[in-house]
Amino acid sequence: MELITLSNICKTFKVSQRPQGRFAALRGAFLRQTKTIQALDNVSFSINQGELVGYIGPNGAGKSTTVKIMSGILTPDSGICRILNRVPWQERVKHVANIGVVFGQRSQLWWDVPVKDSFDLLKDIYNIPLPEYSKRLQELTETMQIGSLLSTPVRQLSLGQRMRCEIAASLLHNPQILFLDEPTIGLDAVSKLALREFLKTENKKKGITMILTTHDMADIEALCSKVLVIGHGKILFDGELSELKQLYAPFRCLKARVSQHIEPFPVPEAEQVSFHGDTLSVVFDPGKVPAHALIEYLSHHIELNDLVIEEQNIEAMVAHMYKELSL
Amino acid sequence: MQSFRLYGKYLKIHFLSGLQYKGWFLMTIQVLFVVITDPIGILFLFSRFGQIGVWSVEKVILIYALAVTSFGLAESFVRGLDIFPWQMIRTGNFDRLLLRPCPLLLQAAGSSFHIHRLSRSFGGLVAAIWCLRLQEVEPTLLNALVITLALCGGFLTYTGVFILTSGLAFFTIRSLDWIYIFTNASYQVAKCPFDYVPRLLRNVFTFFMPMLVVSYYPAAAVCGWGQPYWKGLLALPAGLTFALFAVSIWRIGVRHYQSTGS
Repeated sequence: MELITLSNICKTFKVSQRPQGRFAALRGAFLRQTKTIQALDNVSFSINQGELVGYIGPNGAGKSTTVKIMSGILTPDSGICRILNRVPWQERVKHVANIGVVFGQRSQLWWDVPVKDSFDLLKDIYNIPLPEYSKRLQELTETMQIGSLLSTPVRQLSLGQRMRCEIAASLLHNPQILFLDEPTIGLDAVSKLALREFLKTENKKKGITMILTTHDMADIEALCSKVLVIGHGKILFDGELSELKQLYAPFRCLKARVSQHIEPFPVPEAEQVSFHGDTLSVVFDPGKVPAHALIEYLSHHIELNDLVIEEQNIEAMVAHMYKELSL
Repeated sequence: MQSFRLYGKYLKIHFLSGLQYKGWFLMTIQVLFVVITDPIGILFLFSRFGQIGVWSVEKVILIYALAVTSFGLAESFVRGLDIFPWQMIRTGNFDRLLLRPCPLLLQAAGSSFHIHRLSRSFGGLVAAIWCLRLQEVEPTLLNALVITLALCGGFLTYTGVFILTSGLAFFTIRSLDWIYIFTNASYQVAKCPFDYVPRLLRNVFTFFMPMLVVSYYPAAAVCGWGQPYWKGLLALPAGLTFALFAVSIWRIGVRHYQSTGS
């Protein structure tokens, strides 16, 4: 079932600019020069119920703008957006009651009071019945391990602790859709892993549809089945992560440890061959030469002690992709 | 009704936040000090000259006190709207309000609350009652009604000013200094005996922002300074009209925000 549909969404912003030259700042105070920036250019995509979608793109590509439009904060210039059969900016109150939004860089909790007080206020804001609220709160405190934090004022929490509370806060009202704007920004490795694990189980168990914008490719790899790539306000890729890899990182890297010292020798159909001490690495395209053929060929020439086949690093792949698409 | 309950919860959380910091009690005393010293100039003036025409000190202070009480009430309960432009629009925190399923004005109004602001209303109310007693005003039901409605209308008027400030801030991003004419500066006008207020100012504060309608006319009606009761009773409708006007500006502001982005 299609939960979210965007078609031909366009959005422009006016950015004011200071004029160049002498007395520029002074002139700028009286004459305003603005430049129009096309933030979103005919963006169309659709997301089904229960999908966990990664939304990636370089800085300033339009990720946050799309999230803001989908959550009803901004009105697009043109185009159609229907979420849960509503137009977000036309039925704001009904729409936002069914979504949760986590901004990695902004807090939705009240700074000076204990976390529990913020949660209680959210209960009233979302009008959650008490039994449901207590049950949900208990569930979230257990899985997010925030039981001991509930009585601490938010300003005294560490970033990782706060982020766990933020996510719990955005799920209190059982939203059908959760938007996460860079949720893992600034978190340490342990917190990141815990957060991913939590999002995954929540998605499986409750079937919450999640849209995640991030710069951390490990997030995408660990969580997302579907990936959207945006650049210069246009959707450049919409599909499975494996397809994206097929397109931009088709190569595999075979690394082998050899027992004797060997002279470099040519490997047919290989993209790149290199020797580092006793390690041999061969980058190859499984489409051109299957792994078994390559291993067979290599074992004819040298003694292979140990061997692994790795996928190309996803970070590198994305960097390569951004470059190729000249983003 | 549910909105009011929610608003109460908002106030509660700010009240609790306030208590987290020590010294909130000192703040209360500080504001009270400001309130008491503010009209001291008039007191000195009148103690030197006795009366100015028909105007005695208790007449002037009564009008002033009514305006201050209303301002204090608005400042206590909807202060969030006053700080709103600085805090929310500039930092983009307004997005968060848009993400919550309840009225925006309520959230903005409830975004700040300080108990110590109430001392302004308290001081104003005490002064008003003192002035009424000095003028031997009968505590009839009608008089009580006129004064109560005057305060309600005054609360709405000043709430309207704060809403207007926030509404305009959507366009200017900053808060506006000239709007202070209608907040703190407006009740200073009430210090001047009504007859000597320039006609232009009198018109502005009667027909645009009805500060005099919620202070002078009710006071005049109750004390019998030759103004009919119906003019005194106009306070509530006038305040309501001004507040609704402000709300419509605010609505336009919100739409502007949503279509231009942060």
